[in-house]
Amino acid sequence: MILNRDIQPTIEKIKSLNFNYFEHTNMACGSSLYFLSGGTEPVIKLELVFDAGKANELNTSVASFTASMMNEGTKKRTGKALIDELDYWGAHFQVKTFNEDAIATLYCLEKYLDGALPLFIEAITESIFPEKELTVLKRNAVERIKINNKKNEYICRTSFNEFIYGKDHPLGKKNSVENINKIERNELLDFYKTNYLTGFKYAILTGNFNPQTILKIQSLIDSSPLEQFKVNNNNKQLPIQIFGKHQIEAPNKSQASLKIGKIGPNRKDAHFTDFQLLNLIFGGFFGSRLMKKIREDLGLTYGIHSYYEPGQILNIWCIEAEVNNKNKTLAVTEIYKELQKISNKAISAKEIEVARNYLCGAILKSLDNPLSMSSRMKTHIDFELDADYMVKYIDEIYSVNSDSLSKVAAKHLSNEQIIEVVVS
Amino acid sequence: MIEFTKFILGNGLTVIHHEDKSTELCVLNLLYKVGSKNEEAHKTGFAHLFEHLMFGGSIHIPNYDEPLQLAGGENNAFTSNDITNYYLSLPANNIETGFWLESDRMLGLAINPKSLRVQKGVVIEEFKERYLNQPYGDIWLKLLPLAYKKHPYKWPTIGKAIAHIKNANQADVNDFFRQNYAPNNCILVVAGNINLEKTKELCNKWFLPIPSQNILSNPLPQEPVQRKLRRKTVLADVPANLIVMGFHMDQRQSKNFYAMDLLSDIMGSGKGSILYQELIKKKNLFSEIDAYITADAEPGLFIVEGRMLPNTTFEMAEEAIWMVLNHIKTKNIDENDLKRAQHKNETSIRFGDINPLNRAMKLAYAEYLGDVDLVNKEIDNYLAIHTDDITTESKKVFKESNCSILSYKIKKDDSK
Repeated sequence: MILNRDIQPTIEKIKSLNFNYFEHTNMACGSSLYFLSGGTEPVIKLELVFDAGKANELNTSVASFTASMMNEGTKKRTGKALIDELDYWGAHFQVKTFNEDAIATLYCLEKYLDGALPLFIEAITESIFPEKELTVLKRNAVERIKINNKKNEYICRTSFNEFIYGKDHPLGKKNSVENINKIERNELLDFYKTNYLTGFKYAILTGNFNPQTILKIQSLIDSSPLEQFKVNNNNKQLPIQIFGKHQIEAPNKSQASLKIGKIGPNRKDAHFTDFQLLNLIFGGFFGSRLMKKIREDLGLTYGIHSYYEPGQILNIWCIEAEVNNKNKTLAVTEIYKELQKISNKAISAKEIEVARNYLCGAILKSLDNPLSMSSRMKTHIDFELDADYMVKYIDEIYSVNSDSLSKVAAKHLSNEQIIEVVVS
Repeated sequence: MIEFTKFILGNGLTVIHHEDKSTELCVLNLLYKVGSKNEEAHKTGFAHLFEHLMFGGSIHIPNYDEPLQLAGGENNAFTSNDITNYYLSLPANNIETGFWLESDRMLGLAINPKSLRVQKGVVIEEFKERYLNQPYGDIWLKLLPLAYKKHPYKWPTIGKAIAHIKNANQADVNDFFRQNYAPNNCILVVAGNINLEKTKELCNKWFLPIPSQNILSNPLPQEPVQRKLRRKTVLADVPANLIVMGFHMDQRQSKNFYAMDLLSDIMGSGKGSILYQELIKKKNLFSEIDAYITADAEPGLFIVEGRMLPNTTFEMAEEAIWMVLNHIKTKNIDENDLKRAQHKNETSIRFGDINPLNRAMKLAYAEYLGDVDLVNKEIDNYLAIHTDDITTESKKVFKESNCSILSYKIKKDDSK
């Protein structure tokens, strides 16, 4: 038989999702430990989630400084001793701050868990925030800000946040050398006590482990001073947007950095899935309209994309790119043309099919690796999604059509209430 | 333990099969044995530009990405000094689309003047975005020609200059393809939920008909031993002074490579490391300092890179780094420091192996280095290192005559 290279081999629909729903156990403090074992390697990832996100801070950088200080020493050990002992077990941990929460993550091999786990819990629950280490950290942070201020992309991102959250909102406030210099140990200690020690939300365990490991983790957390997060009534500020076009002077003139964004629908919105696909088609993957037009057709950029981040405070939809400075006006004009086109013209069945199949493949991939599973689990927990959500979600993806997309595009991608930031 | 089966097709294509029934995916990784080191000195950046062109359509398939996405797949590629590596993942039941796409672009490309023009534009924007539009972004453009005088590692993968990319023409592209893109210059790894019979059947169907080519393997000019200290000062609009010191080190397969890799972790990885403890915390000279190796296939560099605090002079910075290096040369490092580095390494290798795509890339690269078994030997290779191996090798590497120093200096604006 002669091989016919002109025709694509037959493709099949995704048959099964490799998604075994996770389990959980309740801990003494009232929080839950969620777990799911899988994969081929004997590795463990343990995440402790705290109500310690940036949105909670009263002064800029308090949340991230508190997180970075957590490996700088405990009541029993200096920071150096703590890290050395963890290193000995081949383990490491990090505390990362996000907008809405913070996650302390331990990475280790299961065979060394007995050595590493108590050190991790000690770091999280018995941190002492030494003044001397704070001075070093502040000094280094000041230097980093100076460098960031030379990056167009950084200026663009922080300015965009300022316009979409408001300049007084914790997520909109810009950082500065003065702010860093003002940080005091006591503020960090307060934040630590409130948002970590009494702000523990839940734990997620992934990797390849045996049931004993779950018990060990549970018993160590149970005997720690961590207290469950209770809904706080902090009068959190509401974000305030400043819509319109904002032109900002760039530190570097060889390229322009741009962000064009809007408020998108929330995760519980009836059009959530439609909007996700719409974003994909518009700028969410390599085959998107923006990539085809601005990169592959016009060659104006190395990369352009749009992203959709439904959150608890705002649901942000945004386009971003670094473009050739000479052609920035052309790039911006073409972006608006694409926005208009997607709102006014029906999307072809073929385009929907490509995006839909790509999305299904990407979901399959995100469920494939025991460690990336944890972020899927986190979404389920945070948004209280049902056990059969994934199955329904795939069905919804298959039911999206040209009409439903057009409606959602007209509603959410109009060129009203846009925030445009160009740093050039 | 990563299990695999290796076989070679009649046209010279090396295939490595690795089955993992726990995944719903299947991945293809194609490593072409061509990197920026195979470029001509007046046409640099070509291997990388070519990587972009490989997505511009092939003989029978006008668009590479769309059919892949239609089958639920994702793909990407990267170019290094040594290789160009393409990879894709698909739901396992749709993997034949991957074979169809990859075999067609190995067979031949359909590059037209427009796609060449556009991709040149894209790569030039990438050049600017990653190398020129960032403070310190051009370190490699400055350091490599200082450290290498003969070996083609003297230019970075992106190329020496934007002009080289602008000048690329259709004839260059055709030549480059014929010289490098052929089954006998490629390693294909098929990994994931697919058995050996299926892999063989699909390889025979799609790849076997592609004729092998006469691959010219010109020996690369070897780098002569460096005889004296080299220096270069760069003035730029940066917020802090930065010093980079590069030392020539041994090649990838030698025991010394593993010794120096571990040493770079002990010196520069994290808050517990020697450089952080000594030069940031105790001596208050730097805001950031790191040690790492370039990890190329041929003899690469051991790098120490530090960003200085406002009151630190270049003399102070350099002296302090030499003090640390000299200490390592004269006194064995702490046994426990070594053990920690070895354990950390084991963890990072295991974490690296969690997904089939990473395993596929590792298999391909190990085969490229000449020993596919390396994927299962790496942990032991690191564990076999003793403190005196590190001391002995440090004495050879950390010599002034083996060092290139790049001083990246704040440009003072006189108008202010």
